[in-house]
Amino acid sequence: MPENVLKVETEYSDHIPSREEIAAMKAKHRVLATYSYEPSTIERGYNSRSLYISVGGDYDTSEQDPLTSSAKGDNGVVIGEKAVTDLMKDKFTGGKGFDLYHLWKSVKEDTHWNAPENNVVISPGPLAGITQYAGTGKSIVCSISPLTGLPFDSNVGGFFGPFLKFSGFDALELQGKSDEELIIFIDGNAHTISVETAPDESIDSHILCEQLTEMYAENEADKMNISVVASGRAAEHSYIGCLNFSFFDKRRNCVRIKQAGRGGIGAVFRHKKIKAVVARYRGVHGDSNNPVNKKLINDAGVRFHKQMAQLDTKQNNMRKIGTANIIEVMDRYDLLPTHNFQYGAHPETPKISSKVYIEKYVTQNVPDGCWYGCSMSCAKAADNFELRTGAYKGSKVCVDGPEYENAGGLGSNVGCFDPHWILEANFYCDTYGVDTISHGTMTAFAQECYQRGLYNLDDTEGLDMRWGNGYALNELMHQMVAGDGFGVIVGKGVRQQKRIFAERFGKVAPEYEHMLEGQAWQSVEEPIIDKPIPTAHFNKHLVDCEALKDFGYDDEKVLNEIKGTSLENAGANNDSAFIAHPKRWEKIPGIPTISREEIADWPAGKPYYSDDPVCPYTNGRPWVKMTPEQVAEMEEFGMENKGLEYSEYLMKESLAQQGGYALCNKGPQHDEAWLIFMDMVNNQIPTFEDKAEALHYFPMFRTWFGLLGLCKLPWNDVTPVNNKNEAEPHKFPEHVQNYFDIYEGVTGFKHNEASMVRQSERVYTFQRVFILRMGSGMREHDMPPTRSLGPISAREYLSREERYDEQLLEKIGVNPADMSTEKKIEVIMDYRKDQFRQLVDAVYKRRGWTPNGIVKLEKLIELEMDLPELVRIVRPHLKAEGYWPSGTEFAKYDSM
Amino acid sequence: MSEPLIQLNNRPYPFKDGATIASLMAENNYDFPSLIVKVNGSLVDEDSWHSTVINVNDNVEIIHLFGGG
Repeated sequence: MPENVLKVETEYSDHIPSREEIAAMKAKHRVLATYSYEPSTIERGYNSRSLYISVGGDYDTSEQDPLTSSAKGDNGVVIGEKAVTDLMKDKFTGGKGFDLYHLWKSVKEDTHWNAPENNVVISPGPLAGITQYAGTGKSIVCSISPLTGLPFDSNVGGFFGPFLKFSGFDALELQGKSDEELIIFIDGNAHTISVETAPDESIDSHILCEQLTEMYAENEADKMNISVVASGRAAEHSYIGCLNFSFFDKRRNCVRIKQAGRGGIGAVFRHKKIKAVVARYRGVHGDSNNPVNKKLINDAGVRFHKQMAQLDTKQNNMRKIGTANIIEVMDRYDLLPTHNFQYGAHPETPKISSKVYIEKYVTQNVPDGCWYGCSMSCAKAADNFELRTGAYKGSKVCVDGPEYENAGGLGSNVGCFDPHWILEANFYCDTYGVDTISHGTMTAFAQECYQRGLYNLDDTEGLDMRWGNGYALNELMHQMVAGDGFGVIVGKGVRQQKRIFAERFGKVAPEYEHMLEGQAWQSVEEPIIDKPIPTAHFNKHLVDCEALKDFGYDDEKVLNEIKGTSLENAGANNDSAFIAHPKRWEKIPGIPTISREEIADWPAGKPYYSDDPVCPYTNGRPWVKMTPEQVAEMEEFGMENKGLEYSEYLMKESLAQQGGYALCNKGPQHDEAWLIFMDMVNNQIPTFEDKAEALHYFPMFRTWFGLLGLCKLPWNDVTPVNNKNEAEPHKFPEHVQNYFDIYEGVTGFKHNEASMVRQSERVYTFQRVFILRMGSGMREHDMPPTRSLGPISAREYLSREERYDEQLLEKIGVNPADMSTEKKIEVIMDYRKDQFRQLVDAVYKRRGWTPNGIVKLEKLIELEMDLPELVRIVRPHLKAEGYWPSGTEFAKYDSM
Repeated sequence: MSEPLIQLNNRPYPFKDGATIASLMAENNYDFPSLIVKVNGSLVDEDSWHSTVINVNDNVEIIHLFGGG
């Protein structure tokens, strides 16, 4: 260990269990099934088999690949192996490809996320586990998402994926549903697997991962060889559950966790009553993948490690603060989502800048990799962080992060500029098992609804949902854990919130007030109109607060705080989560109870009772439907697409990124494409065809990481010195070549850009057909909320009036001088909607899809993905739309 | 007579007498750490950004190298 690397002094003893406690917990386990397997020799990155576990329940498995070997246990538990075939390797590669392959065979067209046949599939990919190159320990997790109802993929670091692979399996399927809390233990050295009941262990990840690491490690040194997959209690009552993948941090003497955050897969995991999956593997080394040519891998690793050592401090500071280095960058370029994506900057952003976290919170000089050999070391942590709220109030904990997305989602987007509250929310999201990004975006939506007067304190039971209330931000999560309170509604995500608010939170019309029988209805709050937030331009002149005042930003307290360097005074805008605590309502006899089917025709404004299996929580107050106008209003700023909440970048000024989000197979997550600088700042892709090309290449390139077990960050979070001389510097060709080298080193196959894109496009196209199979995947499903395209309110327009007026004049050719703000918004939004329409046309054409977004048969044939299962899905759509090709060469596809 | 212009990232931009690459960056808040600068297609190294004066009709490209998380 280098001399300047600290051994971190930590104070985590209150949640590290004693040996006696561990022994008592383990004594309560009841083994339901065990399975012994033959060791395998990895060849070219593959074991050529996967692990299948059913935790019980009755469902059809007839379409799945057969088990080559298996053991049945109590409670319907099955443990077995499946072959990884040459077809799988050829067409699906690994990682996300293997996940989607198994998921397709597990589910039916009408499978819901909580059906027992839904499958949580984890696969690390053929390159995962390399120790010579940075960012090579990733796993991809797939399942049918509770948020979208569609196949969803989420990537994650930590040690589990490589340990699973070196234990002998290229993928793990978790199917079925248990009646008892379970733990699955994979011992990769003893070659045994057991499924055990586990009644006493915690559910929250920071405790559970410590308990299981202690329980299954043979000794202190062996803790390095344990990795746990877990979720948390909030995942049981929300749709945004995440999975945590652990690794033991010997410098801190504690267990750390990384998150497969997006899509709610943790909710599926907890619904199956799986508490954890534990892998133990001792013996990782540089040859564990049995590579064909280790020198290629070593040489690429040396080149990269040198760049990190020489360039990181001059560039992105990944080793000091990780992805949070861009908080202030995004603010300066007007891209930091603020107040539910209304603005891209805020005067208080300096309070949550990376500098604040480096100086006050995040432990420095620790090589924080989430897998061996990662010189990017961006898995930063805030140590000895004392919690202010919740079940662990007063406890000192290790917070993973903050990642940029957490600062955006849990900070600026909900108007919270207190670094402590952001870290506290970050911690609770992780240990309770919820996604920080969705939590931020869905909270921001709920806050804006509240502040627009669409619901009131009666609906929240007094929870103060104004911007910046850090207590409320955390209280929502504590309510999700309890399964009681307004937080349960928020935790279902933006799409469900829109439905629930529309069904329940309308205002009683005068003609129906008599039905309340004198019960006092909370008076409707006046809308709390937040001040327009000025452009990033003002952030250059923080000391010139007069400029902010001129703009209308007149909060003297805030202005005084941001003057100079008074960061010490950062604090929440409110000192409590609640304004008042209204009582729960008794049932009012005269109000009818109607079925869910009757709600559609029930008049707006008329009280009623009903039930809601998606969200049974209610405070007992009669429900009242909103007006159609209110429902339409929510649709404009509810930042979701396909049911997934947008991630934390403001996309309004980049048409390409609007497409990057809304045309993403799984929903608006930026891991398919991040084109904002190329488009908005660099203007490198000015035409629709240019943007479509970028929206083909980058989603395919980024899909490739997920097939192989690679992290995207080392690709472009350090820039090689000679990158400026490259013809396409935005593709970071030197690093792409490194990836081709390590791919060849492991598998023996020599890649180029075309073969790489083709490898990805097979899986990408498969996923598009898969979402079509599940009832989405057409043009109507790729339409974004209006706010993602531009300003929808006078506040938003006026905050960047100069910019928008200039666009009216120069891009649209109308003179804004005599137009009202409302008219300007109408004209500019009509123009932008048309631009988006043309973009979609261009992208679909480039991807080989019809104008309705259906993959053409010719594209399937070109990719050699003309599998009967896929052809049968696209055929009726292509025929109905007139895109089914004629000619004898296509005749065989008619009868598939 | 029309206003003298340069091209900045392929968009018309007002020419200012004596402007340098560095002043152009400051004016536009372009302080991202990974930038490539080309003037009329030729690379300009970082140590010349303060001394490189922009002329009327120059085509200036300031390319931000960032691809998101």
